[in-house]
Amino acid sequence: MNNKIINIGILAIQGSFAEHKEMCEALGYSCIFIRNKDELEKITHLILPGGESTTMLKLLKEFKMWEILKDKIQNKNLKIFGTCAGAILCSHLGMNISIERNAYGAQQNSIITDITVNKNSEFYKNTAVENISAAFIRAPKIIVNHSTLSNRASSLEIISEYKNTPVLVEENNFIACSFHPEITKDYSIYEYFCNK
Amino acid sequence: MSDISEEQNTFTLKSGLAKMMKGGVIMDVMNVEQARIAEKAGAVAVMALEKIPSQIRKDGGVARMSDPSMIEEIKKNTTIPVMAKVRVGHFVEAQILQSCDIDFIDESEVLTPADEERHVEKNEFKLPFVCGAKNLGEALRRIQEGAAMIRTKGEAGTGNIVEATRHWRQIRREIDNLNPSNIEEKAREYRVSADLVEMVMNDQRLPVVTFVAGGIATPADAAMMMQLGAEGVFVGSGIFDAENPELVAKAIVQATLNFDKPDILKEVSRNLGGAMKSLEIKDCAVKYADRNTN
Repeated sequence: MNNKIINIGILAIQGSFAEHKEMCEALGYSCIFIRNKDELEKITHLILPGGESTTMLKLLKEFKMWEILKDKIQNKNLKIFGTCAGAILCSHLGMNISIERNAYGAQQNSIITDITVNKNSEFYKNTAVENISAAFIRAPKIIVNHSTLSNRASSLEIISEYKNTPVLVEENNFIACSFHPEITKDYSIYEYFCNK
Repeated sequence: MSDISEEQNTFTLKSGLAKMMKGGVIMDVMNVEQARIAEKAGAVAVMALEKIPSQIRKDGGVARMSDPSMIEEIKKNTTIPVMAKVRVGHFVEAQILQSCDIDFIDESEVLTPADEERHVEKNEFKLPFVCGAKNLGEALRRIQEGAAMIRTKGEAGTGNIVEATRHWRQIRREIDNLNPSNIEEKAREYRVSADLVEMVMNDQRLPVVTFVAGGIATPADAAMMMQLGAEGVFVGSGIFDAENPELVAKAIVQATLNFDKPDILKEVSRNLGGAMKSLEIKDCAVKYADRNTN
């Protein structure tokens, strides 16, 4: 671990925020729940949990957190990790991905599986992690534009795919995944994100 | 790749979906239009049923699983998870709902029980189940049968919060009373494994997400349950039996998310119009909560 000062926040409006906190704390990082705009000012890292994206989006706007979030992202003062519904929020906050909701079907299609990490990714270079245990629960599909990938100026990187669809992607200060590492208790992405 | 492990429909995935609903409101809806209102208001799931509990009370007779067409129509027109109810012990209704490919099954005492001895063997199903409970023993028996989520029973269709409060406090009190010297005795009393009781003692909570249900009629009711420690609320008749369902739906979602902010609660409680027609518990011809407690 390096000596950077990091302050991790977890958006705690709705969804699996308590599970994310347990993950960070198990790694030795303290973190706070974010439920208003003042708390948002204090942090360097923000986790957007799984839950209902429509609910979270609405509340972020009503609590006047949306503009502050956008500002902090613009000024590169905030790193963001979005899981499942949180990935949908990332796509609204400027990450160059689009999302198809419920693309894998209803609950009976939910699945826990190992996904393989792309060895050319920054993630692999930093962590040497080859596989991640991923829980897809009524998961959204992450869609990456061909033009984004072929654009040299773009820093968007696909860290892992499942059945030829990106499921874990990174771009500048954003990491987004369509699964739930907090459900399988896979720590690798947290470790990478907290050191980012 | 040879040995990639894959699992589907396991308890982790079933209880995982319930975790995504924490902090939210699950609303009873009777048609697509109401499902849209619920979704727009910010519900985390809808419960599709032909009659809300207050109507079941009024109409009497046997209340059963809803028509699959009605449930599928709602599923087709919403993006949030869809739940539906089966009668307690009616495993064939559960098979039918599983075939409808919805997201969650509620084995509900609000419908007329189909079996007075047994509940559905929920571990045998692919879909997750939520079950009602009014004390710790009931909750743990349901969890042992495979329930992936618990809701306290309250008294559905009354608009009266008092039973919901009683059942929540009862479960909390019984968890508080667990200690290393009474685990074995409590396990026998509750008819569940000692491991399960020990887990509850150590975690000081049920091992699955626990919502409150049965009698929530106002934003303040929802916020009170959240302040008592509920992880979310079910609202049945409280919304679509109210004078202004759209306003009440939004207000209850706001109140659930801001349960500890009285200033916001004050604002969302304004000008909602008439609440649902409500009942004193002593005037209920049938107490749903007393059904199938075994």
